[in-house]
Amino acid sequence: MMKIGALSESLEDYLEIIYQLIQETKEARIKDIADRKNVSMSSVIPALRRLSKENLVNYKTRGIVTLTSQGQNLAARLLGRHEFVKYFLMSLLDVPEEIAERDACLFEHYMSPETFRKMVMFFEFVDTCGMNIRSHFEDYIANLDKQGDGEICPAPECPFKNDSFRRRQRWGMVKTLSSLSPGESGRVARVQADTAIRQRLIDMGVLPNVVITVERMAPLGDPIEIKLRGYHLSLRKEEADAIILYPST
Amino acid sequence: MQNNSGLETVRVAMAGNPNSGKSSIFNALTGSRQHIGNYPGVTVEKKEGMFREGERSVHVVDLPGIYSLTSYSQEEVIARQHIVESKPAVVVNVIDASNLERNLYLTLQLLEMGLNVVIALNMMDEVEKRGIELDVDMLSRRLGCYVAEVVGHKNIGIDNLKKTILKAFDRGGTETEVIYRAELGREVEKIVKELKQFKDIPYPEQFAAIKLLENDTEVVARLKRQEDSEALFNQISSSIHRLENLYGYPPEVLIGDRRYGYVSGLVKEITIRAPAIDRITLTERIDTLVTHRYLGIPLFLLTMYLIFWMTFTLGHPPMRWIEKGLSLLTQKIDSFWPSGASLMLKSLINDGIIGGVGGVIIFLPNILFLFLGISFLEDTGYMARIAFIMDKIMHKIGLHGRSFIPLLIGFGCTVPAILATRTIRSEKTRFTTIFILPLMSCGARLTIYLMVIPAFFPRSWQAPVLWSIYLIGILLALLLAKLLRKSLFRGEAEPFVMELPPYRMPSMKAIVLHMWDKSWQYIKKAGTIILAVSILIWILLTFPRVETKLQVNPPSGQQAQLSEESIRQKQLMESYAGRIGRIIEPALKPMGFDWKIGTSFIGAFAAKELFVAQMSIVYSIGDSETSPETLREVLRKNYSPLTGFCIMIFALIGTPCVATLAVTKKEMGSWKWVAIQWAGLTGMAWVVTTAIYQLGRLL
Repeated sequence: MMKIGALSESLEDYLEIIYQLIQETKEARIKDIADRKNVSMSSVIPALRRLSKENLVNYKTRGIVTLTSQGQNLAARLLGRHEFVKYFLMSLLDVPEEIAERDACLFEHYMSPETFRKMVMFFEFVDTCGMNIRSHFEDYIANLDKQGDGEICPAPECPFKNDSFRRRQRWGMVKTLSSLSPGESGRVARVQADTAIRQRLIDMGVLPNVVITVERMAPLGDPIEIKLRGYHLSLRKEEADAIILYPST
Repeated sequence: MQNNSGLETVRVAMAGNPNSGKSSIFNALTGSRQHIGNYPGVTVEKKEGMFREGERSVHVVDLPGIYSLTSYSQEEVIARQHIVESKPAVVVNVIDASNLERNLYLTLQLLEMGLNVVIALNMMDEVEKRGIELDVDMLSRRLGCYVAEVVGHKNIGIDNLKKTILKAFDRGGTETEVIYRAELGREVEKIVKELKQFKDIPYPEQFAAIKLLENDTEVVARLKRQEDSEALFNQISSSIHRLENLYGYPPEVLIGDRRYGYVSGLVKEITIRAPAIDRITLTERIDTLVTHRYLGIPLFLLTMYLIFWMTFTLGHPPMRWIEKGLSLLTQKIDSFWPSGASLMLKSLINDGIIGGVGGVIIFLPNILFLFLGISFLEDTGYMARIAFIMDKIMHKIGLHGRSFIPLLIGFGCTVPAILATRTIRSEKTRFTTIFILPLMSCGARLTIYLMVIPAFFPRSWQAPVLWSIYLIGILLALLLAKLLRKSLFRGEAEPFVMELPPYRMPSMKAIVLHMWDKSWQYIKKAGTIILAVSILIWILLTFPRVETKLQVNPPSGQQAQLSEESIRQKQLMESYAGRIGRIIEPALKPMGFDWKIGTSFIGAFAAKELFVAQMSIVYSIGDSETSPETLREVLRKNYSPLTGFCIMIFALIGTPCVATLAVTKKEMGSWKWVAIQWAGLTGMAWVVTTAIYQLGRLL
């Protein structure tokens, strides 16, 4: 897997733009890339060549640009990082959106993995720790505002809502068990199933912080076989969907 | 307790995870002194046995294999009920030493129930082979109960286990104290305090408190029925709320976490030596092959083919011996009476009993070999892989991966197929499977098709017609399964959380026991219900007697020579079956059947292949000329190909045979289900056949 920061900032930006264009309009044309990056078409070409040499994009002189799976992976991680940093700045530090967006653009390229990991851990701690840090933080943010120009809190919604897991899933911080490929593993964050299935999973040892490895899929794609606590278990994908993990790297 | 032989009786229950080798230890403990029945009201197998040790006789009940003591699965409810109601003096907890963590999770719960637990640490040979060394004394000290090392399938350590059981019995309990620490412990204490005011709770207070925090349906319901339980339930909901706020998890997750946390600490503590590298086990290597993306399904089909081949090829010679034996018996009985005399009794024995029961007994070799194969699949661990491979297809129609094997066996014979549904754990899924099983066209029905198809269809049509009949059966089965899961057996699909146990070489003894057990069930059925119904059908076909003087005084010259065949024809026409056939003829008409076909179907009720024999009698074709061609000639003359097709469709769907009904009764536990199944399938047969006949006539 390619590391973030191995490319130049500009090339990483290109990669993200291509990724976004493919997501939005299903294809990335050189002209659209140039428009979005705000450069001329002639300066796009060398960048694409570079990326193609790194085996991140498929590019032929004319026409449409596509991402290799490696390129897709890197772009998704970059964007996830961007989104996380922006959210972190806005929700925990109360930075206004424009500034948060601009800073996130810089952070995403230059922040060391170590700092990123610590930021994630801190966010996790604030969000999941049961010791009411959450409400302390809300007080803190409210006070920040009062100390400023005395306006009402700009974030009427609590930043730590129930869908936080879905958000973290977008940032690549958590994944459902069903989305892991054979050979991948992760540590259980939580189980979001109905009572009966949850109890069954608990009894089989599927509990927070247990490491689960996906062994294989059944020949028809469902169910899947996993390994935990030294034994093998099979689950349907619909049950595996309810198990949320921190993927191991 | 004293029994009549003056021995003191000790009652013991065996509990453990599925695949922990519980049955092999049970077999080793009790030998052949076993009794297999059902738990009251349910169809979960209950195995009992006994052994003698010194001056005591020990009575052992083998509880169903369970992972936990919640109330979410039938097995767990039954195990808990048995423990609570019959209060065994000792509970032997069988543990797979090669999978300690998950196995000890149950142990902790058994200890929490305050039971006198003895741990049978099984599969110690496997552990040693892997280079793992365990401190068994430490395990015993930490848990406060006796531990005996055993290797169940090799009969090692069984004597010591027997002695340990009695040692525990003499001690009268364990020295265990299960303590929950910190906030959870505080909440448990609060609930225990509230529980003190209730007298007849069948569980230890701490166990009940934990179960209440877990929101265990059964314990909650039991206490809700008590008077003045309001304060208790207020305390419970406030405790649940507090714990959830504090830890961010519901209490059941917290409790599970604490138990597993304790267990994994314990396992670390008792492991003296463990090889550092987690090498790839044989099981993993086999699994990459048998659950392979492309090879998995072909390998499974090959395995099934081999089992069917064994069933029919190896089963064939003994079948012939039984057949010969039966015909010899018939001849002996024939010659026992002087010709002409005592016709009635002779006919009852020969046509009724030997014809009916013999027709079922003849399949015994097949059943033996089939269950030899199935036991092998089950005991090696391959059965779980089959469920794993086939679950996607089965889940689409609301069934479970484990339903596949019974459905496949159904193409051979419905009876063993129904017996094989025992591997399906959820009752609803299991009942649905039993209901649709008769639609898998069995071997007996094939004899009907093989008679009818060549009578009406040209050679090039024969294979497609046969194929279409099997296909119609399968399609109707899929449809019916979907329908049943939405109506009669509605409910959540059974979650597929299934262990894939390590492959193990099964012990021959266990397989033979299992095979014998299934076959004995089959023989018992043949000897009781099938015997009774065979006699009933014989009566329907034989009475009232036709005046034999017809033979003596022919009324007209035309019938001067009344052959034996025409007497039999006359007899059948005048019999109750014949009369019933004529009475119900109006109902048969829309399907294109006349009373002759109807009467033959009544006879086919005992066994489907008898339809052909009955038709021969109705059309007075003598024994000497029962070459299939004569009957086909007659069929061709009297009926259209459309009617022929309708006969096959009705035989496929309607009136499941007596043996099927008998086994259904046994496995579903009530005649109500038998009636629903019989009426439902026959009704469905009528609708489908009528639709085909009426549509076919328009074309």
